[in-house]
Amino acid sequence: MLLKGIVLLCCKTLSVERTESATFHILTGKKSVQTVQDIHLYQLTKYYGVHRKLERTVYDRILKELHEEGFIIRDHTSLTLELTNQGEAWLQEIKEQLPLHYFNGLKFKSSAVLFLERLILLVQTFSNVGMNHFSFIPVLDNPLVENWVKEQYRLNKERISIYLNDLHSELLPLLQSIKGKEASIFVDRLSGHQYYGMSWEQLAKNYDMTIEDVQILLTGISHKMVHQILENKASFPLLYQVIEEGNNKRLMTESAYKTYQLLEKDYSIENIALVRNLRINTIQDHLVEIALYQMDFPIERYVPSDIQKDILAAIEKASSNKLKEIKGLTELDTTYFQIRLFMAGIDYVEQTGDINVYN
Amino acid sequence: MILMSTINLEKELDTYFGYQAFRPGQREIIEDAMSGNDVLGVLPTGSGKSICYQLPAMLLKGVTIVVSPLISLMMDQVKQLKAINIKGVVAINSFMDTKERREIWNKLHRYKLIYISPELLQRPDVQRKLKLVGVDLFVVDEAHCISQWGHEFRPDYLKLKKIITFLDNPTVLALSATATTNVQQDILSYLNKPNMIKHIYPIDKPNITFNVEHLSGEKEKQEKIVSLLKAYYVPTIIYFSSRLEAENISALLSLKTDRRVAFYHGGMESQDRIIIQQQFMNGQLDVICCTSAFGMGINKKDVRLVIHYHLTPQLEAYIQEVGRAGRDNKSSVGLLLFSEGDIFLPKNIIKGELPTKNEITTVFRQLKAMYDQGQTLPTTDQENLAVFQVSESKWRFLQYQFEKHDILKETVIKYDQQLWKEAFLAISNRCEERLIKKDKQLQSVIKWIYHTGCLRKKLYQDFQPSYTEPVDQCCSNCGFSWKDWQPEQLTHQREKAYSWEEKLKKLLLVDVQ
Repeated sequence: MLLKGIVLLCCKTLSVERTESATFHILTGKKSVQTVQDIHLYQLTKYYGVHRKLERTVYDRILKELHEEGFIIRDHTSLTLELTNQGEAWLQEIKEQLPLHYFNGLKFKSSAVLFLERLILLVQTFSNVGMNHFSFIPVLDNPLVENWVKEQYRLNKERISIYLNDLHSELLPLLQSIKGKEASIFVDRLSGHQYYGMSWEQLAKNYDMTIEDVQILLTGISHKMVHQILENKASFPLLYQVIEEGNNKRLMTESAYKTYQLLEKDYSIENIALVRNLRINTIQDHLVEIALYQMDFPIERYVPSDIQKDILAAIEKASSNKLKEIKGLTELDTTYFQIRLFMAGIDYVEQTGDINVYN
Repeated sequence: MILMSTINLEKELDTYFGYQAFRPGQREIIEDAMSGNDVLGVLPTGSGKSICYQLPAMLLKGVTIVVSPLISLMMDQVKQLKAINIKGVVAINSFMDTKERREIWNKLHRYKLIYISPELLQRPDVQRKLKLVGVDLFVVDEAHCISQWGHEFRPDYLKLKKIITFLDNPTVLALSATATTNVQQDILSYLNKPNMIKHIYPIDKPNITFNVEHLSGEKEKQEKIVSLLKAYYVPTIIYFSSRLEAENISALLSLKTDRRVAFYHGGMESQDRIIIQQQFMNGQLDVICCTSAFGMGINKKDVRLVIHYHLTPQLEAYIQEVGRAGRDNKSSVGLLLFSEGDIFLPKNIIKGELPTKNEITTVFRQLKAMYDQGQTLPTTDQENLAVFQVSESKWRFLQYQFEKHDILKETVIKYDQQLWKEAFLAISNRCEERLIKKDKQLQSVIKWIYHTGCLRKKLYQDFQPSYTEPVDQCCSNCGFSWKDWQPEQLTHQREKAYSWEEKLKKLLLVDVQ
């Protein structure tokens, strides 16, 4: 029902202005200009990339069901769809029950995945070594996550039970802040000492949900947790590490990281340049770098929304991703810095590769 | 080479792996391999084949490399070794990203035991690097893959001979759990090691009872399984030839019995595969409904019942799968359920493994078009699969054939009209031959199913001259009754339903457990 609700909500917002694929691209987090533009224009950033595993066949099945239930009308020539009154009513009715406010796809889609994977392996590892059990099969194959957990073990091996205690007291309030069933699903996905958690299939069966709903719910819960932890770093020092450590700073250059620390203290660009005795251009370069890695980078502070729209329109018109061409197509007083920052912020660079393509 | 008299192998076995004694065959194979003799070892599944190279790898000065056809198998082995705290082990495969792989490359000399896929081993840079670090022992795992008479022919295995020469002829150890005399001969000749010392051990399992039941169809099969699961509370594996059936019957069984049932197949994501496998190992599950993807590298000792819902495409596969029962040597049962319509399933699977004439024609056309435009082939398998729109097994077959016929050299296409014409014919014929061969293998399974004499004798007759007398009932043809099969049953108390708060405490608060 959760995925269905989200699909219906996106379709409603996009209405007949977009084809029925647009929602699919949003949910799977497609990195195309069109999709990124859509989520900003229609304020669907929350749902961007919240179900990257979603298969097209499953999505089509959901549309078919929505159609059969009389919630949408599909136009097979224009490939658009529209909500019926019945669909509107159903959406209104279930909206309140669904944890829609958990989601923040654009901001957390990558960090929440990393958070969850690290947490799962962390719990399994520490739960085992806490019982002096050093031989177990890790449930995750990701070597990057494994290395990070190993590092945590190396740092904390003298104080395993304290670490586990801290982890427990940080996780508990987070889980208490969501519904009991949700907390239960979350805990059942975890593995520990001589115990393996549930597969997607088992969770779905146990909680009488579809696999897709379990998966997307767990994504939502992890978004909410990451949000709460970042909002209140002081209360979650350990979990903050799980999200941040080795994530942001190591990918940044040393110099950009210094700028980042000053930004965190609310210094302006000009002041940072002054304090660090660097040119403003250099600090701006740092900001672009930071925007690439800091998931909640406040782009609006440097690129107001009318400028954002201007850049989007220009990107749309441009035949290439060259900054020079895009700049030429802007209509407002938009700067190169703003374009680069904006493109970095919307994750656009991952697709285009190099951001320094001035000429 | 090492002077064997200076080493106490038992002591080393205990130090590294914690075993007190060798199992039959291990010591003999290890001694020969460590003295620098090329060895062919045929040992039954579950007899500790891998110790035969894992122990030498720890003791030899240089590197041991293991060519293994299945990535999941390699990963399992590495995980298990790491779990018992053995260091210097790594599995290299094409699924790793460049960064990861480069990291391993740079410290390759620090590893003792390197698992590698046959595809990756074809790369000249990989070969050069291995030559540089110096390979002492070259292990060909699942060596039957080298033979077209083996049940999983892998063309890349045919190229191992050249690589072994390039690596300055390290000692070669070829291992298999299933090699008929034909296949053994192929291994020696394709590896170009006619003087290999053969250590062939009987693969029959005296503690397994073979049972074939002819039923009228799906419904009867399902009823049979339900009643068996109700009667016997023992760790059970049920094999299917399709993922969907495994899922469906799994759902049915959890509905109709109170056993803890799950399915397992290659279409699941990796984390879920590990979870299900480990739940079964750990006794959190009683019954696994699975495809042939399950079981490689699993060593659960007390599987009592292995049921085949569908027949396997070769007897070798059956022997391997049924061999997962009773690793603790206690009485276990292999049950194959057969209804007449089942014959068509493997036939279709076999057809899907080889390119059709149409597909061969299309790929040839595409190659020509690419050649005309001066293009080369993509470098990764995944891209090639997308370009040529054929399945992985089909592409592997074609790629090998193209290289053999001098049409492809790595990614470069070479064109010669006459040569291409001949190659096209040869490749099409080759497919025909393979189909006929596979059909023959299937026929031998069907013959076995309809055999009226002793099933045990018939099953093993191509592999070894005789077999050990069964410890319990022999087979359904020699007379079998379920009544007389009384294995020790599990006693599982329904677990108390814990709240999530309690579960979290159990996971994290060590003193609570």
